[in-house]
Amino acid sequence: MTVVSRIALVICVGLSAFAAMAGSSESLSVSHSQMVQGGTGLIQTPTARMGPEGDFSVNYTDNNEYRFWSVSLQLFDWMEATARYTDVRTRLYSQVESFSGDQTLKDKGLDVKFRLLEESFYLPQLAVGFRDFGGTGFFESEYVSASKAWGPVDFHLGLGWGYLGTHDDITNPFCKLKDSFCSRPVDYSGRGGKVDYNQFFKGPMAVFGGIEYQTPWEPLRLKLEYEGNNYQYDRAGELEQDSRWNLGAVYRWNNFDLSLNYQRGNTIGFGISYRFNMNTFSQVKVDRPPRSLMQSEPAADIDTLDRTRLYQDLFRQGSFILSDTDINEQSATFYGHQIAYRNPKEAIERVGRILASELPESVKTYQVVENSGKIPMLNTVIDADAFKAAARYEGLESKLEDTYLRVTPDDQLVEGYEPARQSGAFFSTDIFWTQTFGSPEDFYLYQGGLIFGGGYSIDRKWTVSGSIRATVLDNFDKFTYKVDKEDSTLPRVRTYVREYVDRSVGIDTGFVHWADRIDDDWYLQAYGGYLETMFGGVGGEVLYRPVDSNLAFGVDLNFVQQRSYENVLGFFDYKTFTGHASVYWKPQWSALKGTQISVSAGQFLAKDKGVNIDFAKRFDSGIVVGAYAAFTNVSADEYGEGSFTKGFYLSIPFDLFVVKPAKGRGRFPWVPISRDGGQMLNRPIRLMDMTEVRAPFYD
Amino acid sequence: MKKVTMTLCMASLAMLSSSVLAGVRVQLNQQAYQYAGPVRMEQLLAPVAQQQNWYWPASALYVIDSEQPEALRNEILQELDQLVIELAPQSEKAVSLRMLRQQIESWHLARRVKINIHYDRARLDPKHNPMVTDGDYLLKLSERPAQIYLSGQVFEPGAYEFQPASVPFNYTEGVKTRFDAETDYVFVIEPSGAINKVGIAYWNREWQPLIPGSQIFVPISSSLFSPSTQVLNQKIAELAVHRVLP
Repeated sequence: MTVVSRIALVICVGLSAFAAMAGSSESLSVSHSQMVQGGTGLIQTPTARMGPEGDFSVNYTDNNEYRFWSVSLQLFDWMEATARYTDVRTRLYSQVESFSGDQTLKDKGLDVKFRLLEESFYLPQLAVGFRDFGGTGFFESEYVSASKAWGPVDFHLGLGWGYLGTHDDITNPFCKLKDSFCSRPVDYSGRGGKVDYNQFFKGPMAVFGGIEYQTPWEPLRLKLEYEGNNYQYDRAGELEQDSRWNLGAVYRWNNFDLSLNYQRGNTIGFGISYRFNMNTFSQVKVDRPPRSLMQSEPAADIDTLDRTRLYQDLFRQGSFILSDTDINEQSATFYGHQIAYRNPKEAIERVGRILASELPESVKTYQVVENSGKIPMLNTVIDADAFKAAARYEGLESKLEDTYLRVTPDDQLVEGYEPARQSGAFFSTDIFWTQTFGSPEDFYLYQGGLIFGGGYSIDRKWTVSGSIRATVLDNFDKFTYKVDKEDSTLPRVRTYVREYVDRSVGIDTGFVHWADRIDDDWYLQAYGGYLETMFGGVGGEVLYRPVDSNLAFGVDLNFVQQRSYENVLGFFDYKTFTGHASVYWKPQWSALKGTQISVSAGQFLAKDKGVNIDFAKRFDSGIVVGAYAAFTNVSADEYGEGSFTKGFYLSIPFDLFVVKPAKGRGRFPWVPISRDGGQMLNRPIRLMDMTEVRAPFYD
Repeated sequence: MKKVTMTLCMASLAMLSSSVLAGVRVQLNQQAYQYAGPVRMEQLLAPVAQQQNWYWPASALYVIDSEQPEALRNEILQELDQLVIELAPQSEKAVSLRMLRQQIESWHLARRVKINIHYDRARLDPKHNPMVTDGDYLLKLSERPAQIYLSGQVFEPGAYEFQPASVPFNYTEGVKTRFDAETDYVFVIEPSGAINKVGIAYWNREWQPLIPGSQIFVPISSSLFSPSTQVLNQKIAELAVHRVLP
């Protein structure tokens, strides 16, 4: 049960916006497609093939006893990850009707595949993969697969263990080395959700493989497959297998793959996939080009400068909201924040061109200071003459990027910041969408509504703010229970979630906040009040983050009390200290291009101690895919189902869905099972977010 | 001591004044042009733009007084020498690498400026009409080339007749390659200066048509276990961008 996802108003522009992916018509080779369970492969079996980095597929397939919903992502050019929900149509979710009604059995699974070797003249492409490795997996298996192309034909051969190897064709070679590899342990460790390394590559083993053929008719590909699974031990019951050969065809229509297949000599299956690439995905924009300087007529001196026009243009054409300026004969400083252009290079180009077209020639330096809250965060110092020369193409290879520097605002600049308006009220409205898959009551439970936010800035450092959540649409009336029946030894810090969300109006947050820059690269904040839906209290954070550095670190400390779900403003008795020391790191290795790893060590809400690791990968379109896991001193048994806290998220820039440039993001979490151990406080404001412009990861 | 500084000073002054006075000097095909100061691309092209039916995709601008390509060439030659030293002098591999060395030594180089040159575009779009700053340049304009230039691990490098709608594989298939020629891919250096790695083998062949005037560099065979050869191949392909072709 989960968390809130905020969506912009605009998701529905949707599919048409996805730029059509041109299949590489320059090659005759097979363009690869998804298998039944998701991931690049044949029909039931995987191949060593992978898509280009950023390829993302959403799949649905129907195979009589099973239906699969899956998403598959090529995270790096050497790694593919797949997540899947399985619907077993011959089994019920549970035998207790009051618990799950007539809902059929659902299970979730995760697969990964790693490329070991790239194809070359004599050698095939090699990959190793782990299917459904989450512990309770119905389809748990490991495999090694090889693929070799010959013109339009692609040959595949693999060895499978587990579900992919039940035909037991050959003796497991590891069995000869060590007896423990001869049979496969059937149980799983902890409370499911853990990776059971001790099962890997054990027990019976079988050969699988097949052929893919790209027909001369470009959209059509044919598949022939030889399986390693005998379907004796399936979750849906023993399935009859008349043949180990399966046949399939895939028809490509724009970004859709439609597939039809004949499995086990007796079953017809079909499926549909929608795919796009997270690196190349883009959106058509309706926008004026950056201002040309070829015919500009700047003011003769600062006395004749048309300030009104300059400030309005900065807002209307540069989307830069000014809060203070400081202009003299030699230099000009503009404080404010960018609201539309998410690419910093584009933002500074547009703002710089407007400045250069209006400010007199005597002004040699422009300083564009980006604020966050009301704190100067980043100073972009533009060498005016060099900028103008580059913008007028006065050199063969001159680039705008070489004419400015991004630096931290120095003391003088920070002291010079005196916005006319320091206090005032602000309001916001957001849409939220909470969803959860695979619950006993219904496969899909959802809740949507509005979050009204508002507040008052007392001065540059102090604000009071809060938010109210109003539910408009939900099916939470299907809840058959509010609190699970597990004997939890941990304080119930998160498992009361159903109690909290099951109300139509609630106060999400309400707190006093103070923040300031305490030195070059150092920031500090403190807050107190209702901090999130389930906790209130006081806390603070300090963060060190140099400009454009790939490393930042910070410490946060909070004393919180659990909020009551019985009334709006009250508290329960449970109190705790929680806080973490965190390191945020963007590795520079090419194999991990565009990633940010955040490691936070400290005490969690249930007073358990340990570390939370968050791994985020940013694709060129700005889409960010992340995963996190918390490892604490709570044992798997104490933790309960799932064994430890883990989750995934997708962060999508609104800019990809609208034709005007826009900042902002929607975050879509997916938390398979959430319990009380390893839970962090959802701090209402994080300094990492506040200081994002200093060393952008997201944009 | 004083005298030496004096002469040095005078020498540098002379150099300074000569470069200041020189303005823009452009060797345009066989013609020399001189301008007192920086000129826009459009002005440079104007006198000759309508003279012939120029094939703009194959036009190129080089900076003559740059050491950069020569430095890269020396680096590559040294790396090749290093490879040869470790081999028996008469071995097939050593002979092959020495032939490659000879080829690269014979290349006429100048620093290629990576811009697209097109008279009409220069007149319409300021972006394609950059200022040509003071210096010595070589501007090559030609009609549609009738050649493809083959280099690298082939027995007969040089110009080959351009076949319409041909792909790199058509050329590598038609010539004799050396035993240590890469079998999987070649580098195609487009007349614009763009470098593409294109598959030519039975398993990865790409049918991407060549632009007339392109170079095909057949690299030294490499594998996962010879990353340094891969880097060397890449460097040679980058050097080939700076070739002044006949």
